[in-house]
Amino acid sequence: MNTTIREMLFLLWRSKAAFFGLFVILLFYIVGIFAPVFATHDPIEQNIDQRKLPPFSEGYILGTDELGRDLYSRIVYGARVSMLIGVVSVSIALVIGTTIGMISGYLGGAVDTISMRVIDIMLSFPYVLLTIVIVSLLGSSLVNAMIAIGISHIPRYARVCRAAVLSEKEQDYVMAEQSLGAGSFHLMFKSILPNVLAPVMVQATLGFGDAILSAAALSFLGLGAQPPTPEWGLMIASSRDFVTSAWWIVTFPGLATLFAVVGFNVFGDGMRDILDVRLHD
Amino acid sequence: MKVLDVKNITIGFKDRFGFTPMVRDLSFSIDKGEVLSIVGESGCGKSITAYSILKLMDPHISEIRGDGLMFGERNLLSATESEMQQIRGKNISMIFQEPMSSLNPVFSIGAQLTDICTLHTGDSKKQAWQYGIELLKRVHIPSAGECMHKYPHELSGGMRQRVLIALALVSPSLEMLIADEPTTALDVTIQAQILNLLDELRKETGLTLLMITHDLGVVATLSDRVMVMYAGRKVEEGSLADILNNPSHPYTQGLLSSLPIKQHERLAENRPMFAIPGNVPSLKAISEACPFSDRCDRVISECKQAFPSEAAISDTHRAWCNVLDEGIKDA
Repeated sequence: MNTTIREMLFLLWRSKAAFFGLFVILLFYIVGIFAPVFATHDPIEQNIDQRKLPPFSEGYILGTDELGRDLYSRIVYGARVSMLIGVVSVSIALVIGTTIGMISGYLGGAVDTISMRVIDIMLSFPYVLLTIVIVSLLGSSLVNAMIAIGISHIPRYARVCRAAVLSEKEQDYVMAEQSLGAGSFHLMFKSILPNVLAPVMVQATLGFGDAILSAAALSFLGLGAQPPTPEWGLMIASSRDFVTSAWWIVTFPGLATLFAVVGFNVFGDGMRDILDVRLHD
Repeated sequence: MKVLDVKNITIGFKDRFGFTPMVRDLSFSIDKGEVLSIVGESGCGKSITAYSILKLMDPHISEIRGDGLMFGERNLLSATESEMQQIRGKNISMIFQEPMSSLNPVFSIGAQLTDICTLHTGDSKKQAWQYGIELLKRVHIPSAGECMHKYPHELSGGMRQRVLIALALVSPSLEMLIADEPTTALDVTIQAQILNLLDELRKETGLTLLMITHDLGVVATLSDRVMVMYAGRKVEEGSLADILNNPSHPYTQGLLSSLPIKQHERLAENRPMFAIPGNVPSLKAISEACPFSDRCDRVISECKQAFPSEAAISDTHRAWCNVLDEGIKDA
């Protein structure tokens, strides 16, 4: 197992882009988890005298927003929110989607037909629209936004997992283990699952970026995080009126979102190269 | 005492057009401690027969019909999937022809062995690990303790087949082992080692062995009795000596005459080697006639009417043919 991890790290190091992606992701996570250490001010403390200060003035590295809150600290705390959104919504989608895909691919027949038609119906809605519909049904809040994003990400995991299971279940070892007395549950979740994780994990890494972006979009529309939560999308939304007068308030949260999403996408692409055996040699 | 008694089963595949039988009206039995070999060329239904005993084929597309598949007192034909799970690996286990792909690539040998051990014996992980090492020693794997930590890709084909045999032997209450062409994918020296191992294990434990093969060399090494199948039908059955020394069905005779070792004369005279003319009929096109009638040089009109009835040659030796004669014909 150790050799496998070391080999993967080596391959990551060789693919510079993926390594950069990993670095960015880790940076955002560290900043998010230890936000109180990195932040210089309270992210929701307002200071009306010091509104819209430009960057590098009076101890505010990135300046202040329209209510005089420290922009840098808000972005730091925003990382915590965004990374949490990534973890929660990807976990929801990953667990439910993989389970559906596994059962559907393994059992086939009517179960497969029904679950895949449901997935088709979900896919026939534009992704953003589906998310908005679910949030509207659940009510606007950050938690509901995460659940909505998770649910609307389910189809992609179900499809990827099902496709991998369809080819994997024909492998000889599946019948061999079955002939030794392994039951369906054991075959699905102990024998086949570890063998189909690679494409699913690639999908999950790419999904983090999507989830963060979607959450920012929902917050921008007022359906996600509610003020005064330091959420990047919300920060962009509330400051878009000042884009000509105080550019920094809208630019820095935007840049933070951009870097986080690019980090996850680049890392996901790199993971695909590393985990896809067909691309080796 | 019969360990397995197969009574008149027909195995086939279903599709929207109906039921296509692949194996027809097959009956055979195996006594305790006996080695029965099923011989026949590719596509004659040997492997399907083996899978059917453990009901490993997808029930959505296949069906087993017949009077009974008696394993001891139990009729496996009416056993449910969960009852079959209790039997698979515990009372009957199986080894496959492709050792390269029959082990799960993401788990170490030890993990796979302990997994199956805990499934059948209820041992703790630690006991199962020790038992796994013992099993690997029994199948003559050098430095068994080290092997437990290895992954399948780190082992050679012969070693993997040994591991698969060890996996099949996990259960202490194992009564029968089905070996589906266990040596086909291995090179000749390794084949001999694996056959010796199987022979040794059956002598030690009195294991009943059902051997599926197309290799007459394997048959001669290991079997007590031999059953010859052709296009889904049993055409001849007898003791090893019956089949090798006194083959009676034209197909068996043709098979034995095709062995390179019997062809010195032809080779000396620069004549091409003997082969049975024609090809195996498509299983979809098989009628009630004797399936071999199109390729048989002794065919008579009755052969085209119906499948021949049983003809007893001796107490142990039977063939299903209208035109039996004695000895191998001079080809």
